[in-house]
Amino acid sequence: MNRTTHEIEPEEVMAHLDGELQASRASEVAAHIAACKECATIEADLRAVSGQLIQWQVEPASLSIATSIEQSLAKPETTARVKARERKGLIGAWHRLAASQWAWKLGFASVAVLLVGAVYMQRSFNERARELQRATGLSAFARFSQGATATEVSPDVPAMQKLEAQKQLSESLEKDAAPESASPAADRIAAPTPGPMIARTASMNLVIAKLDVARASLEKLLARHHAFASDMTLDQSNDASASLNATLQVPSAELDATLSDLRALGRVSTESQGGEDVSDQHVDLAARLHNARESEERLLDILRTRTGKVSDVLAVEEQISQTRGEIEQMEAQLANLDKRVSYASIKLEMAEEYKAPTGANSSVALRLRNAVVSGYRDAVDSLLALAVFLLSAGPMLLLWAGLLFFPARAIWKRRGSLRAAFSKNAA
Amino acid sequence: MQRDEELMMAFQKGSTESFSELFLRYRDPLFGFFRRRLSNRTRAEELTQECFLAVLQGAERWEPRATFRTYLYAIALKLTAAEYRRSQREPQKASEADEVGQPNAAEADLGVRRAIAALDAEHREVVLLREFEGLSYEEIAVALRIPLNTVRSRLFRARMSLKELLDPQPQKLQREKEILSTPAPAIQQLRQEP
Repeated sequence: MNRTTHEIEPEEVMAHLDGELQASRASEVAAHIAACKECATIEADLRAVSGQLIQWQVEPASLSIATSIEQSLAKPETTARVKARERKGLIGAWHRLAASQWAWKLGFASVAVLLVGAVYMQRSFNERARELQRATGLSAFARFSQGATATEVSPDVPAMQKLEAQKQLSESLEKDAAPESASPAADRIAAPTPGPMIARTASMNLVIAKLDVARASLEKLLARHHAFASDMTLDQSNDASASLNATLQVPSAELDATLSDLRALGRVSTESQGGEDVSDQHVDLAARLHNARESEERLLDILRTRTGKVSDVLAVEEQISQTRGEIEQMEAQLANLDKRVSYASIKLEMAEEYKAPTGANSSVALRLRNAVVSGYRDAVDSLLALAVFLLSAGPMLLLWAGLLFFPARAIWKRRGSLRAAFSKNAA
Repeated sequence: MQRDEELMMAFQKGSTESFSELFLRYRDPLFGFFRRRLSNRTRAEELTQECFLAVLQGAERWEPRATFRTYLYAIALKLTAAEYRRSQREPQKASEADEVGQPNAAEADLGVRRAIAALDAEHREVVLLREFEGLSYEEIAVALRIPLNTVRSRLFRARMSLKELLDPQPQKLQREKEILSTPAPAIQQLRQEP
């Protein structure tokens, strides 16, 4: 039979014989078979094959199967699950839910999502709290340096006495300076200083990858924290390792946040922090200033009211001049102390990692060596980044893979059966 | 007479009598399914039992998307495949078991059995499901997860091959007897030998 020219394919003859054709097509094929000798032969062959196959009969099953199935049916747990469908109301719904594997999978997935969400929320909350703390400068040390109340800090007696003495002195100074308030320094002295005065200092050595990038970040950082660099030295004369030394002046309240941001610029090789209590020094200086001013007042009073020899007048004037010099010197010292307390000082040293020079005069071998070193460092960095990523995201990925494996497998299996059904319909 | 699917849905609602009815309908056909594929009668009975137990256990998940018969034979096919894999892992045990349950077939059966055994696995499965289990083309397609056209082409080729194989050819008889006396998993291997 020629398949390309014959209008009925042999498979259709077989399908007709098996009763698998639709009625209209079956009548067409039947008519064709009646007229076509080849197709009639095929039909006869197929009938003969089926007739021969029927000869293969197997013995009936033993009764033991029936017994075991009946025993299984008699077990209450066998029928409990299927009976769950029949139950009405809330209890029935609960039983149907408990009998469903999908419900269990969905339940486990929901619990896992809730756990992940809780962990994420906790981390987010902590992060926000840290940011808030950084923004408001409410770390314990900063609170102490800003002047916390005695109940907030450790309530030791000497500190409280010191606070009280300082307060009394400030009040008396305020009264004295109120009529005149001659200089800005006097205004600052008159300002109340309720807590101990701590001049904070810090130093940090950083190893960075690229100095240009780090410097740009440093400038942004300083602007963000209302800080400034009182001096800065940039050394790029040597290709081996560019470095930057700077002294940063940071508002005391911003010190912790600034240090935290500085750490993010590179790898910290050394770091230290210190604080000097200048309360006594301040009180002493203020008292001396107070006395000097009184002396000056008395001398001026003598000069105005008393008369005497010219040599005496000159001696008083010289004394006044000397006292004025001392007063101005002490005012400057007080101003400096205030500045040290309100602005913390950070000595910062940033240096690039050592790299052999690659100038125009360097040899080919040296440049190749640098390339090897650079390549090795990049490879290690990328491996490190990958390891960090896997360690940070790995558990979460494993969790989700575990959660999604069974639903995905079920969907895949269902898809396979649907594909078969679609192909069946298409055919 | 209630349809299989109606009985299954009744069983889902708790009617054990419905399952008993299904069991009575399919006990012998299912045993025949396994018996034609395995030479060990005891194992065929065990697998028949396992198949019904699998239906029992999965009854609450059954949905009338396909016919019950397709569902039942799909489970049976999976059990058969698992049995073949098991026998490949434990050839010694399987061989002993086969010897115990070796069927003493009549001469008329022998010709059919050796002809079917000579088919390759894909064609043999399609023709067995059609001729002995009586599945429609659609049901075979769903049970084997193959397209309907593939079912038709495989079935036609299998029947044409059987027509040739069922013709008496004495020179092949000895070789085919060897094949029939061999456990089912090893048939393919023997057939590939020169």
